[in-house]
Amino acid sequence: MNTDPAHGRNPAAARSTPGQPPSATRPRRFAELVLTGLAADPDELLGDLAEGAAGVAAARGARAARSWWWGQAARATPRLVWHGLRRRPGAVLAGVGVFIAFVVLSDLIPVPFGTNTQAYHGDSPVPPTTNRVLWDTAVTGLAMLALGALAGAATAALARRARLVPVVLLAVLLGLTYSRYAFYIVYGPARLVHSDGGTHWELELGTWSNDVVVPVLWQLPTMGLLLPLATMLGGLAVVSLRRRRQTERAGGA
Amino acid sequence: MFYKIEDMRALGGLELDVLLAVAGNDGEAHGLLVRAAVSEARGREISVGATYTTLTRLEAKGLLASRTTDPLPVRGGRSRKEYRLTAAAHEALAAERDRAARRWAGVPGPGAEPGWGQA
Repeated sequence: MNTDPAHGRNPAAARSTPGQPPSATRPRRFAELVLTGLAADPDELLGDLAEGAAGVAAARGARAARSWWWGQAARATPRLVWHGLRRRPGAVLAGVGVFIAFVVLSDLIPVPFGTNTQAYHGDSPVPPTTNRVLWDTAVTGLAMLALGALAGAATAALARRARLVPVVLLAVLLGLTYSRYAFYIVYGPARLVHSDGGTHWELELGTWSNDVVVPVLWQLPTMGLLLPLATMLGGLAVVSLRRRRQTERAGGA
Repeated sequence: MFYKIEDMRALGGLELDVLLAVAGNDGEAHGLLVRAAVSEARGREISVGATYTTLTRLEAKGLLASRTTDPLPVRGGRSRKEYRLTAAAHEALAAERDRAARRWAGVPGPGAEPGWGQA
């Protein structure tokens, strides 16, 4: 290894200030916020990561320290989620409770501009225009994303510590449940009946009988990925807000 | 309620290693020190996250007690938790030592004559 003879260590290490943790970049601050939301005692975990990274920086340089920090953070994340789910039954209850409320409310509350309002009757089948499909899907999709973010925020607010743990559970459940809309929009309970030379034949797509389904592949990222992401962002917003208030209180004390 | 049920179980391998590491630095053991000691004992690096969750679990079980230091610059102005064993941990370690001694009692040492397979 190329070492600096004056210090007997890597020249890259000489550029970092010994004994100080490397400065945090924006992605790293975001990762710290995630870890803050997952750990019951985030100061202890983040402090260990900062101290460990400072040690690596002094020995092997800033680049190795960054790599070490990210590696440790990535390894800690699933462990913290699993630890939280196993040790905090209240968090599991909060996640499942908000999920059930979300599903029930989203079925009960009619969406005035949603795709469900378009009945597609067999007697007079009028296919919706492409623009209408795209508009309805976009508006409904955005409404679902906003609801997902609200649900995530509410779940994080319900938890006392490790606020993101129940939000992760909620995001996974929502992603699994609503990813069926990744492939289909259900146009109300009806059957598509095609008239062909006086003979009628029925077309059923999908597993829901009497439903006419239209595949809309662009919703795959919307519901399969963006809905869990929106849920997590809602939870992270609460974590960030609480963290800021804590810091302000500590600063004022 | 969770921890009362778990207390009835024997310590896990990592939990035992962490308790032994804390015992070696009782009162001054902190996360990174425990991580280094356990990594050395196991011959492979364990992660910061694994150390943190195990220490948290042991503290919740009542096997570790901790105190918080003043904020340290090297930790980005965060304080550090220093752990010590509780009386329950000393009892648990003694029980583990007895269990291990019983398990090894019937095993002959190296160089002992085999007791079977001889004509």
